[in-house]
Amino acid sequence: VIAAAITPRTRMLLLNTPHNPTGRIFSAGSLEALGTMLDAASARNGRPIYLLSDQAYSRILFDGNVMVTPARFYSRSLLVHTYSKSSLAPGQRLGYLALPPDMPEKGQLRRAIAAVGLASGNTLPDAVMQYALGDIDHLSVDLAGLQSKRDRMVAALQSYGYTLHVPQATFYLLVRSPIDDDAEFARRLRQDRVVVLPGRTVDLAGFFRISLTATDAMIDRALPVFAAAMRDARRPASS
Amino acid sequence: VSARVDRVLASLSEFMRMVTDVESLLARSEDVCDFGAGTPPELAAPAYVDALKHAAEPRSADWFGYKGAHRPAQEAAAAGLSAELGIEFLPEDILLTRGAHGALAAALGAVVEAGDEVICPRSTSTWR
Repeated sequence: VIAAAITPRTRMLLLNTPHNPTGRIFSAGSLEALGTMLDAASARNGRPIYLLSDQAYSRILFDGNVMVTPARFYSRSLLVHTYSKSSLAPGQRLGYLALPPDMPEKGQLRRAIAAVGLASGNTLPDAVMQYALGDIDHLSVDLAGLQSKRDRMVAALQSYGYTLHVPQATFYLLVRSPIDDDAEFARRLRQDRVVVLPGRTVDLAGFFRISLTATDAMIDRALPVFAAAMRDARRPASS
Repeated sequence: VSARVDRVLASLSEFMRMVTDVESLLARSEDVCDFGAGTPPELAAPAYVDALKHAAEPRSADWFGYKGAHRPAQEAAAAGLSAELGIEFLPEDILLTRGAHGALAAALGAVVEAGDEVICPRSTSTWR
């Protein structure tokens, strides 16, 4: 699918693994094939295609899954990391762009990225966040807790009739909306003060997303609401 | 408003409307079950708070001065990423940013020109 989308003007491919919101991790085999395809397309185009790999959830893996980076198979990969997820502190902006050791034009890219930071009002984190990075890098969310919330919610939602897959990583569940208009369904849930992300707000019409960062008490109160909303959705319009 | 930003606003309108709805819900009630944006539901971990407190304590006159890349931060990030991915990253190749948004903006700004194409695969193409 991606190969078919490449044209002579293609400069970059954006990849998100583990993937928000499906929770899928791209396999080593698919990334190797992607790297081979991008090498060939770059040669055909006469200029490199960069792979921008957003790995924001690389440390939030379930069931002992392993994260594989495309940098292993494609040297022109730029890796995006953030501490917003592993620290559950998205208001404290801290992350980085990492260039693999074997990336060609590495020095030139480093200078260009620094220049973009200066020209655009500085993309560098505040000084205090930089000083704190060494102490933050090894912190992790409670993975066992997240996984048990995932298992509880997946089982409950499936038993109510919702369609969803079990995510391999990230802290999201992507659920098919029982009615076509997912924004309308999200409004139905909000009537009972349950907030989900409607898919059409992020180009995913027909789905909604659940973030597992909610507390157990919120899950306790919300599950009967999800069950009732499904019953409402299945009720014939005439009744 | 520029035509380009106008298009951005149009594509964000549904999202922004939802954010406004949720904000007004949160203002009216404390009993909201928020499964929306991954907002932290509880107080931050003590280890995280301690890291910020420690970092906010000035150890030199220029502690809060103009700051380029902080080498010890690059070294710590390189060590963490190398251990995670099994590839040896060099500290100078860690370009610190304001979260993932800053990193995405920096990468796009450094490489992509007007007229270039950036491929962004549809989220659910491999899911259905």
